[in-house]
Amino acid sequence: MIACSTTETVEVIKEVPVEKVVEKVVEKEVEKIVEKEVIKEVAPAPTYAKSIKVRDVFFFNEGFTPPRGGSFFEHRVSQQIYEGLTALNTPMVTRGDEATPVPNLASAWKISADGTTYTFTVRDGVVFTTGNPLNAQAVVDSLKRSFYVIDLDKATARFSWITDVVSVEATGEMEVTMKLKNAFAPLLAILASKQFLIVDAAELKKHEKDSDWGAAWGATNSVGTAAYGISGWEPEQRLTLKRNPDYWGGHDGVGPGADELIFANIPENATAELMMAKGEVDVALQMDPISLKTLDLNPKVYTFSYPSLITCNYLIDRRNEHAKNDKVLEAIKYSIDYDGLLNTVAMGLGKVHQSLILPGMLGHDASISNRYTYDPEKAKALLAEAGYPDGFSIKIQNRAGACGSVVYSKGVEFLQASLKKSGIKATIEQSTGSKFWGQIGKGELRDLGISGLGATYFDPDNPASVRATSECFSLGIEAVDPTAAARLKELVAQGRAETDNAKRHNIYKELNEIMVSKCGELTVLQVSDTVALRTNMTDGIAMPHAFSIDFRYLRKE
Amino acid sequence: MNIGAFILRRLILQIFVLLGLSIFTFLLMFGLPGDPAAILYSAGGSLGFEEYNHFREKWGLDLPIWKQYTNFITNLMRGDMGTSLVTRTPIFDEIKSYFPATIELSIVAFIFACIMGLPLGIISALKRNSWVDHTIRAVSLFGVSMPIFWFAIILLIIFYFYLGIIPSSQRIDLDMEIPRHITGFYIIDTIAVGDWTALLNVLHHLILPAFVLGFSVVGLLARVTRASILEVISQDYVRTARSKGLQEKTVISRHVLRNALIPTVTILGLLVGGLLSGAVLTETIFAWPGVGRFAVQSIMLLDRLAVVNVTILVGIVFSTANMIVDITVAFLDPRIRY
Repeated sequence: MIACSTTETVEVIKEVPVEKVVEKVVEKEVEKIVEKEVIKEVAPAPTYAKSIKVRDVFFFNEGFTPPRGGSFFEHRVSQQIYEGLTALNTPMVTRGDEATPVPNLASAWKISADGTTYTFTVRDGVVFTTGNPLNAQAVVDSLKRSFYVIDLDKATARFSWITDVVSVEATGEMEVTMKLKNAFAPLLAILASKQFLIVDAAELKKHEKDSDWGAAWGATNSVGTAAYGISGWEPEQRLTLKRNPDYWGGHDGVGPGADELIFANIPENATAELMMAKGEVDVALQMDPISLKTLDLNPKVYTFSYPSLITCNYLIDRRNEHAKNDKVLEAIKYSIDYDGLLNTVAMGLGKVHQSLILPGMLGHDASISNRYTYDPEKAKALLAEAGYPDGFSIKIQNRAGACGSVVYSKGVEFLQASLKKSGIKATIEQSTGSKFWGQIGKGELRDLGISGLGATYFDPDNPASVRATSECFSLGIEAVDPTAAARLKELVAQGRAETDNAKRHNIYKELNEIMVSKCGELTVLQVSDTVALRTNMTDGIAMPHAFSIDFRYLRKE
Repeated sequence: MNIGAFILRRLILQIFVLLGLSIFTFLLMFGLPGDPAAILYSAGGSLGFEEYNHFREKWGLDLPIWKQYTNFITNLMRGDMGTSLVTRTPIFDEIKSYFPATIELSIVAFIFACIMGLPLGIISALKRNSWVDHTIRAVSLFGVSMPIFWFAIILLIIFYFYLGIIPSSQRIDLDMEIPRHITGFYIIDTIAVGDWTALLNVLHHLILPAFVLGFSVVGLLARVTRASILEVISQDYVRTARSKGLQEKTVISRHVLRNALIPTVTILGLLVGGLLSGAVLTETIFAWPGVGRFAVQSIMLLDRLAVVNVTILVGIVFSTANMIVDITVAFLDPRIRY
């Protein structure tokens, strides 16, 4: 017995370092998995899970077929059933790296020296779920249909570049040539965005009604090339996507991991929380922050957050009697408790971000997007310098809505409390979206307000063209600083024309600098999306531009 | 007045009631701050103006309110409920898709409420002031005063999460195919195609939401039944019946219940309204794709026509239920003539 005991003791002593080694191995394994998630080296699934069930909250607006369908739900579904000529490298977008478009349905492209002619080689061997092959003519028809429906919906202002398209033609069986009036560098990124994903336009034409090129029919039917196609749509209840057996594999070689993707509409968070905890659904989207925190405590569930393409902004017209002074504008920026806003109002779901250009976009510079800190004393000093030693009074317009987890009413109340500490007395006035945007449109907004804006394509031209040349001007930049305003216009044009990424970076960096220091749009947060998954689900990759994760990467053990 | 004339008069009056209801709801929706076009297009920021104006023009939102209303009524007379601003789908199709779910749930909840509420009220009255009576009254009070939302979640935690004997939500399991639409009533549709597995699953899914919805009115029904039985039971004709030597069972069934049921049946008509309004919450918690949730979404997005149409439809159901109640009461009590 003693001998045995001694032996056992010795063995135990020997086991100690062994246990440590094992721990290290486990740590390394964990690191590998994390790295794998980021770099997306997932092998195509040899076998398919029967289904992956996803909790979502449906907001069905105009449907799944591009270019229509503006809700987050429609965006994420579209990205599962349609593909663009180009694609975004989603792991890079998530990571905040500079994400340049990669070949997708176009296997290659050439850009003319003057940047006005794009020649795409259409990928060979791809077929639509309708059975029709993808070729140059199909691509041309699809793009022309997108232009047509956008025009039909009077949405051209949001896609002004399409008025610059001189021609889109099939210049070979598998070659498409697009000619533009002017060089347009963001084109490749735009072709990866929802509105210009490739559809079987010929099939849609067969279902035309009221000259809509099949837009109404396409709302609930799929005619794409991607990993899934719609197999069942029950409004308010369930959307079932079925794996496309003829899927060509995708730009990253990642095939889908399940035969079916089932999106269940579960509006109540408490119910969804129980379903996740019980394992009835595998993935939960659109959970509220409190439910996410509860789910995080469940050993069978994990959550992960990724930065979305949505920013929350406070707005003020530079023609406001106080804000026309640069020092007052700066004082307002130093008056905002950014961390407090993030941690209390946004419940930690996001990060402080003060510029319109997002991480990963050309022109992003952390020193610009994190320039201001909460400093009421500095704000007071700036106000005194501007001739307001006792502060001033201003109104804040509140309205219904939210920007990620930031409910506008809470964001407005928080701003009021923040400003008070710097001596700015703000009163909140109830408003409406039509009044608020109407005043901005007419250049009549004189109060503070709040908004949330997302990017529809992942290129700095998106915030630059939407905001620098539109909203900054609507917010009166031209009236207080015509030089800066003129420079903004120049930079937007230069950014569109320049094809060299290094030069584009510098252009947008300068543009961003002007916008942050002069524009009446005060970006405060980049909000996060958070997804809850069961622990048997692996390889979740965020797809921020689709307000979702890329379901192709998901593997169910 | 004979019953035919009575029904005709009620139907004519119903038209005026529904007209008033539509005007009131229309004005109420216009009174709400906001603009559906702004909700849908504010995401486009300042670049959404053209779409915003186009949308307002296309859907007649730029017209004066009276013109919008008369357009709506004129189209309704032609059987056109209009198109949902949000989903761009004819509202008739939307309602046709959602209404069966609500009606199916409400009917099962109604049956449950009657099966539970009437016997509890009767037992409570017959066992007046006993522990049975006290218990039933306490349960009734609990049913009446308890918020549906809270009760539903508690039951989900117990019966779904811990015991695992009840499904969590929706009308059928996510793993099962949705029954082919014949009527939209899943019970009927599954029977029609002889899919008994699906039928059982559908019934299984109905249990908890119907219980929650029905239980919210069980208390009221039991209390009204109890009170009216107590009132009848002390009447002279009941004493006379007893003194004639009739069996207690006969006295209760023939003399007490028949007369006591008149106020109960009257309250049943009003309970239909309670069930329909309760369905809004129940449908949200149990992800039940009914008209209640459609109405909530329409209100949130200021889809005015959808809200007005749903309100009118609920008004039709409610007033028809009450008309049926009035007719039933006339049959129950020969003294009542319209």
